Amino acid sequence: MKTIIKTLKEGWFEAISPQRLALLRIATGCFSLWYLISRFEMLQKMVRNTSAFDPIGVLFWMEEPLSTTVFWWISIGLIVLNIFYIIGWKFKISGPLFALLTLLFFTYRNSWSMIYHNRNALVLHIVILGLVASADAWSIDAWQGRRNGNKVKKAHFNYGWPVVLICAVTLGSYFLSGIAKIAGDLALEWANGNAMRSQVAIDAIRKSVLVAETAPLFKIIYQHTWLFLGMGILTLILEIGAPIALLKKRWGMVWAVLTWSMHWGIFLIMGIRFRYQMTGLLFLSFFETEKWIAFLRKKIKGKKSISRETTAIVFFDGVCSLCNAWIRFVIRWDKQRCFRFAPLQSAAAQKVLGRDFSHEKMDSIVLVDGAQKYVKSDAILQIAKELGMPLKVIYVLRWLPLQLRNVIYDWVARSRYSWFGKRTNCRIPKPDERWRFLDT
Amino acid sequence: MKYTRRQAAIFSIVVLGIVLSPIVQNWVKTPTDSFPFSYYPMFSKKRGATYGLYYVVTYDSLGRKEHLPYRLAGTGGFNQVRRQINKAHRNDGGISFLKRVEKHLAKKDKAYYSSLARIELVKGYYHLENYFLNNDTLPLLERNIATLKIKE
Repeated sequence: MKTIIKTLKEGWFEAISPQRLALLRIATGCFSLWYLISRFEMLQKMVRNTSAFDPIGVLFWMEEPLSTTVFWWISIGLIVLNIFYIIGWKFKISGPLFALLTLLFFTYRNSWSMIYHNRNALVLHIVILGLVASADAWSIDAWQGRRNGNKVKKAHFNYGWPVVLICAVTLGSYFLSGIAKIAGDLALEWANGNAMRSQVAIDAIRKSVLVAETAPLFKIIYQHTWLFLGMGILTLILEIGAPIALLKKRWGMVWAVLTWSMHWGIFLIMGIRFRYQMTGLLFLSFFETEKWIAFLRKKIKGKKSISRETTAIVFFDGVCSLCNAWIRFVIRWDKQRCFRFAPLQSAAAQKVLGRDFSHEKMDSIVLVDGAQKYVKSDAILQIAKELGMPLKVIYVLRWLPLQLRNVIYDWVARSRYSWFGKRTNCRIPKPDERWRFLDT
Repeated sequence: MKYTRRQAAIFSIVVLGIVLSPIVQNWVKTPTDSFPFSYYPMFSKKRGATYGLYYVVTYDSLGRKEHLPYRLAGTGGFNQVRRQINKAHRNDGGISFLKRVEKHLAKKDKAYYSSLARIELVKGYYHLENYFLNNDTLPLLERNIATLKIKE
């Protein structure tokens, strides 16, 4: 017993990187946002059926449902808070507020004659993540903190215990489910597979009689009684034995993979989609996911980003005030020193761009990266992409048609002198940035 | 939102205590489920060889019978509509429920609605093994709960 308590104590306060907690915040936030947006219409319709209102949980005291207008505004407010939660903005306020509103909203949503048990874990996870330091990495708050000179947060027990608590809450819910099976009328019939087989048959007959989509594998599996014996035993082991998975990391991972497979099995046999579970998001806390992300980032950077060995060159109109302001902006944000610069009027431009860009064609910024050449809006977006977050977000405009982007670009380019002014000569770089300019 | 070890321990114990507290529902006389703190009672009821359930059937003017798809019988997902149908007979024997279904049908599928003569809320009992292994899909018994005439 002492060993178990010691293991739990050490494991509970393990130092974990803030990225793991941040990833859980983003994952739960994205899932919840997807749910709120995809079910928006359905939920607005649902609350009109006032006869089905049956308040539960923390809303047990409600006698009447909210008006549909109030519910609409609450839904919108929750979506906005959900976005703040994902991006981690003003998290000290938005985190707890989102956690509280999520608890109330989902409780209200489950107060209409049907409890959706597959949302329990999502809500509990969000409540925990909203009340802890889950926005200390991969968030606007963290980014602003770094801009203000704060150090990058390192692994700490303050990021460890919420992760372990999320694991424990997940395991606890499966444990409760196992206890309910054993304590219920069926008891050990679950172990011989009969209970599972009859549950599966009842689910199928409901779907058949109420004309709903039936499960893909039901008909094949139902006739093989022995299969249910194995599945029944495995289900009981995974549920009753769930708390053991908290004792060792590896056990936790194995449990997570098996339980995730069980949910896919439920889908194939009963057609029930537990989306939070089936996508694996429920089980993320059992894995060192931040390492996967770091690995992927390394791989993607290695393939796609502008080569660091051969620095990319940005050619710009040296006498244009707007272009000069843009270059100053890029220099300030280009922490990785990705770019070097040269005016289009320079000899370097003549040499690199050749005849493609004569002095008459100075209405386009040009980015040359090795053999690749980007002009106009393509060049702007490619530069923004390389400047990292949050400027990288602008890169989504790449999805707009090229012609549309360039029409806007040309319009600004044509008016740039009249709007922003023209210099009589090219800008002279400051001493500390001189090395970044060709021809100086 | 930083916590000391003591605060973190208290927070964790409180959360886990609340999450696990519904376990007592397994042994109380009239257990009640809740959200998000549940004792997960699904799949724990003993089932017999036959199963009875409520559903809606429609009849056209020629007397042809059809089961009404759940999507046309209520709002929400499959299980939510099923619960609404199960509870329908509790208020005025299911008539107001059928009136809602009729209104919904008239709005959602006009062509289908115009072909109907009446709709019924029924409870049917099915033998599970016969239904799935012998393709005997007729109910052992089908009890009428409520009828709503659409055309005379």
